[in-house]
Amino acid sequence: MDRYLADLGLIAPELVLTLLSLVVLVWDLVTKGRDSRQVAYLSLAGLGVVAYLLLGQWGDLAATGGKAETVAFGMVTIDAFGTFFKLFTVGSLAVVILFVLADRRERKHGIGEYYFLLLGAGIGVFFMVSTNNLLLLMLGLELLSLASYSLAGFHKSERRSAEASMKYVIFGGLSAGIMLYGISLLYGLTGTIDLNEMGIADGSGWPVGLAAQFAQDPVPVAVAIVLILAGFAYKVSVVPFHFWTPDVYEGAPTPVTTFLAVASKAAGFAVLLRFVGALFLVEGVDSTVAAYGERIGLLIAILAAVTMTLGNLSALRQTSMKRMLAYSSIAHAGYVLMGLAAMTPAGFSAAMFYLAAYYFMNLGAFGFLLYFEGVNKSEDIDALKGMGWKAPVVSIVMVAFLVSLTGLPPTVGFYGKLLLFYEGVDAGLGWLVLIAALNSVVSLFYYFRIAKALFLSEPAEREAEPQPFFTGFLALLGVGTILFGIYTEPLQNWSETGTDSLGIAEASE
Amino acid sequence: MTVPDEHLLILAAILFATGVAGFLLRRNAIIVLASIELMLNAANLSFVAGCRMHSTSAAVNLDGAIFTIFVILVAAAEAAVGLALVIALYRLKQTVHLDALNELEG
Amino acid sequence: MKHDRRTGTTHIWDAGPNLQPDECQFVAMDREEDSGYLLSMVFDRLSSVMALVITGVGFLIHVYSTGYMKGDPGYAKYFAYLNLFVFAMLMLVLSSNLLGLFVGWEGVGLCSYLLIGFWYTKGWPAEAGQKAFVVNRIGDACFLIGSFLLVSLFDSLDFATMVTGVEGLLNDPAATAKLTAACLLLFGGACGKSAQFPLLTWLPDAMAGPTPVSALIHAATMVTAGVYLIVRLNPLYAAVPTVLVVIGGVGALTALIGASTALLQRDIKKVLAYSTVSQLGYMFLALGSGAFASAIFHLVTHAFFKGLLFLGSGSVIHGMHDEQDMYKMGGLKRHMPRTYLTFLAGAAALSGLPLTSGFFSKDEILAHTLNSGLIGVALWLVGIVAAALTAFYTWRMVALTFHGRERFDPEAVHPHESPTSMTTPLMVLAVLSLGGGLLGLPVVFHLPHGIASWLEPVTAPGLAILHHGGEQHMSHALEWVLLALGSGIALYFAHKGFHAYVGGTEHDERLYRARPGAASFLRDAWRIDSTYGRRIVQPLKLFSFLIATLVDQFVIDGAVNGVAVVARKTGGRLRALTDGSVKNYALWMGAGTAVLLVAWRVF
Repeated sequence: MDRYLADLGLIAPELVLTLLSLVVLVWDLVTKGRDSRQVAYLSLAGLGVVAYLLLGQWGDLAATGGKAETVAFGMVTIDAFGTFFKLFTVGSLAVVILFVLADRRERKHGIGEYYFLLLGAGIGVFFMVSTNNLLLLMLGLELLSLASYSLAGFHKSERRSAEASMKYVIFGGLSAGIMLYGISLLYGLTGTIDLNEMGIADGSGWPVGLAAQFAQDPVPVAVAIVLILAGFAYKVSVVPFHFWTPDVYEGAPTPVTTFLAVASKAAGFAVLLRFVGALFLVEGVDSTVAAYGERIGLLIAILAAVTMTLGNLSALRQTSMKRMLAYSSIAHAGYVLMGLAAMTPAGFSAAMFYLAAYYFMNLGAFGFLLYFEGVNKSEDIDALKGMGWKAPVVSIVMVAFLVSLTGLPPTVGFYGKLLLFYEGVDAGLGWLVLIAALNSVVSLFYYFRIAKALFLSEPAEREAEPQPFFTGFLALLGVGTILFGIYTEPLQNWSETGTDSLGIAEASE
Repeated sequence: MTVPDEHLLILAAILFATGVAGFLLRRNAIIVLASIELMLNAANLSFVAGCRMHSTSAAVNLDGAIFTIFVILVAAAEAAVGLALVIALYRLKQTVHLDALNELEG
Repeated sequence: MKHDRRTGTTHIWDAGPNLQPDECQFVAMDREEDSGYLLSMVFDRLSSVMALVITGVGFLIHVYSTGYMKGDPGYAKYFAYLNLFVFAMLMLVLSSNLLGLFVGWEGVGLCSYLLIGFWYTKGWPAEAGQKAFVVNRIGDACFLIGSFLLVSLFDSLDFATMVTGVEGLLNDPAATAKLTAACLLLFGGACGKSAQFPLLTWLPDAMAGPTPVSALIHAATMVTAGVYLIVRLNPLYAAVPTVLVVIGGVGALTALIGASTALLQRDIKKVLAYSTVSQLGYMFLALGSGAFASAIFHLVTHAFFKGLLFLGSGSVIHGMHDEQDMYKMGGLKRHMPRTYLTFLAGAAALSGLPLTSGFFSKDEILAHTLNSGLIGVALWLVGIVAAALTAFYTWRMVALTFHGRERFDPEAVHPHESPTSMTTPLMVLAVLSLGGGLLGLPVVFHLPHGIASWLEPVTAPGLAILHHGGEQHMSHALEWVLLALGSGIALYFAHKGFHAYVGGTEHDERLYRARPGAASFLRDAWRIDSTYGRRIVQPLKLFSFLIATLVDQFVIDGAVNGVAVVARKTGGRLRALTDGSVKNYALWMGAGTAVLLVAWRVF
């Protein structure tokens, strides 16, 4: 019983977040949605508590090298890796809630369930990033997905929002079906739903490890793993599982798009990293399995190359900034995959660093988008022409985000990309790094179309009504983007601690 | 008479293939959602088969069975959200044909 | 010596392992694992001399500048550049390794560029700055390649390491060949910075900058960096005597070119510029004969008297409302007596009149040259001729500027003495020019030679290698003869020069009439600049034009634009994939999964 209570302490952030979402729901019902801003403030306060708990947990974990502790009969794994993503998720949830508050096209009352759904999606993320158990992983993923479907269609009377949501549900369902079928095959082969047990079991008894399966007949295992990977690939929009992305991102309300592009995608990557790491790279993994791991790495490298190229090239011709950012997020998924394809601990931590960078610059870029949707009532890049002089702070900060997205110094995006490139070369993926470098050049074209529209056109006639709070908030993100690009040590340490806690072995030649 | 494990797996595979085919070939949103349910149930069957394969008279491996219950739950939730959206779609476009989803592209 | 492991920094003001007892070292950014210092400084006897010249003369010139630049719109900018220069120059002479020296080297080059082009709105100063920068590029490229060779030889660019390491290479022919190449290349760098033949053309043009800048950068300090470099690396040069011969030859030739060109200049600053070129040639002549201390001695006295002359000319230009043409001066001694008297002191030292600082330092160089073998005798002859020319053009300049009739329009120009802020530095420098010889009296006086004994720890390793441990002696009788000869030549030609021009400019006109070809050849600095223009600059410009138009616009831009067009077109096609149709999306996803499964089998 004592043990059980101690376990509850470890999952306190999850519990508080769950409780918070219920309180938010009830509050909204009780007040009949008169002023939804109160609900937002309550959510923000609650997220503050969760962040506080997570930081405490991070401190404890970092002190012990981020090692994992399992809770609830081994179903929940509390480690530095999960906490890293949870911290960023809480941060981006708070940012998204602020975006909803600042969204000029959003109603101010009767939208309490908006916040409830966001918090619900957050609970899903929390569980999916901190488990080695496929059941809990699936539940977390589905919780996130179900909340996201509803969020994407939040403006259900708008045709585009409804269409986005419908497409999201259909493809989400398809990918869930594919992934679950893969999981069922993997369970049938190994007899366990715990990733750690699959990875390191030697095959002599129960559960049957992957090593024995590969030795016997690799095809069923391959089918199972590819099907599961396809499910994850859908979540992080890897080509060719990305088609829903631009449509859903464009149709969904912008704060929701922000959440999907940032928190949801990063969570997908967390799961992907943990899955691949636990099966193929964890310490004590069988050499046959490790050999198949390399094969997986190559497959991922090819996917990365295709993803970043297609994402960047498709972004070139977009006229809507929202859709352009959607393709940009696809391209970034390709970059992150590079770290995964390296199949080394350093590659994983580079991917984590890049995801952290991704939080900053994309939250900022979407914030800018939201700001100008409010000003221009349009998502068109052309509508931005000359507005740089009317909203100078937001625009200058946006240039910082664009520089970071392109991967130029002195920004966090640059350093993240540098790490990815370095680890890619180190892992013998020189060709992939070359493709990524060329892609960065291409991306410069479309990112700087925004900067060009803002500053290199005649000042616009319209005025941008000042929004000091929102502006200051974006400026803060901009400062973070540059600051963490110069002072990279903390982020780097955190990602390394996170990777260490996965227990991935150093590659032995 | 007991059914061999392989038969269960083959049935599951057939169900899954049917689901995928239905998804690819049919244009009616409700049927497509039903196809997804079919795929999820193929997974369920496969889980149950796995459960049976890994259980002995001495030790029962219930992971698959528990998984099945949760998948059913998820399937229900997805169906609820999906059908709600189908209704919303019908209100907007007076059709549940997926080809009507044509405003977002490019 | 304390090393802070945490920050990786060491702060030492302490005697290190490779240091003389009276040296101290400052190290920052210590990276021990790479067995080298990223940024470390040594304050030893050689750096102390250089640092004193830089800060001492630099201080006087700063004071002078407050008067000279008064009212200039770029006053603050000017001092910012000037101080940046002092910083870079100190960096250059204090660094304990060649890399740090190079940082300073480039820094002073940058400041020189900025200050030459200080009045860039006039047009030609900007061009002069560019020329200085580009010509120095050639030297700097040599410098860098030379440094790379040294790294390959010594695995280090640390001076102490190289100086101690060179003895181990003496009997290795391959290493000596490499060292010869490295020393030649570094000398090439020195040629650029110190305006030696063939890279001397930028210095006369550099006079486009404000006059105090010419005094500080283009006479006293920066241009002597090449001399400092070779003295700093003296054991390396001593190990390859052939390079020393080259240096001596280049020095003598440059001394002659400079001195003969100065004969016929009309612009007072141009005279001083060619004179500087020529005096730097003397310093390299000294280096060539292994007289490293004498080179530094001349460097110091030259800093005094040439700084003085430049500042004096600046005072004249200031008083004459920006007139630099000596043909339009004359008789100024009445109007600016303090400038005149101090200028006389500088001229005496430059022309080597007996007992002035220039007399002792130049005499010492010539004596050492004569004493260094057969080639030395030939170089000595060139040096004597150049010394005669120097005395002549110096006093021509004095006569044209301060004596004779007033050749300017008294209605338009009202010459006046400069303010105290400008004349005070002149007086200090005049005292130093006259008395600076006390730093290094000839051996025959049986008094201590200040500079030579002070620099002994620095030059000893080089001299030991050069003379194989033995000492070189010169008979006292010969030395007395040389002193007398030097005095005689200086006095005679100073007298000739003064008297030929005290009446006016007719002597020049007679020369142009009598020997038009030779005179214009000398006036145009042996036509080196125009030859470069015709043979190198013009073809290079043509080539660059071709590259810019054909290669850049068609090939490179074509490729870049082509890639852009292809990317945009492909992007357009790829966009069409996302056609919004649920059916197509699903087919792609299915196909993707299938491809992944197949790929798994293939790879």
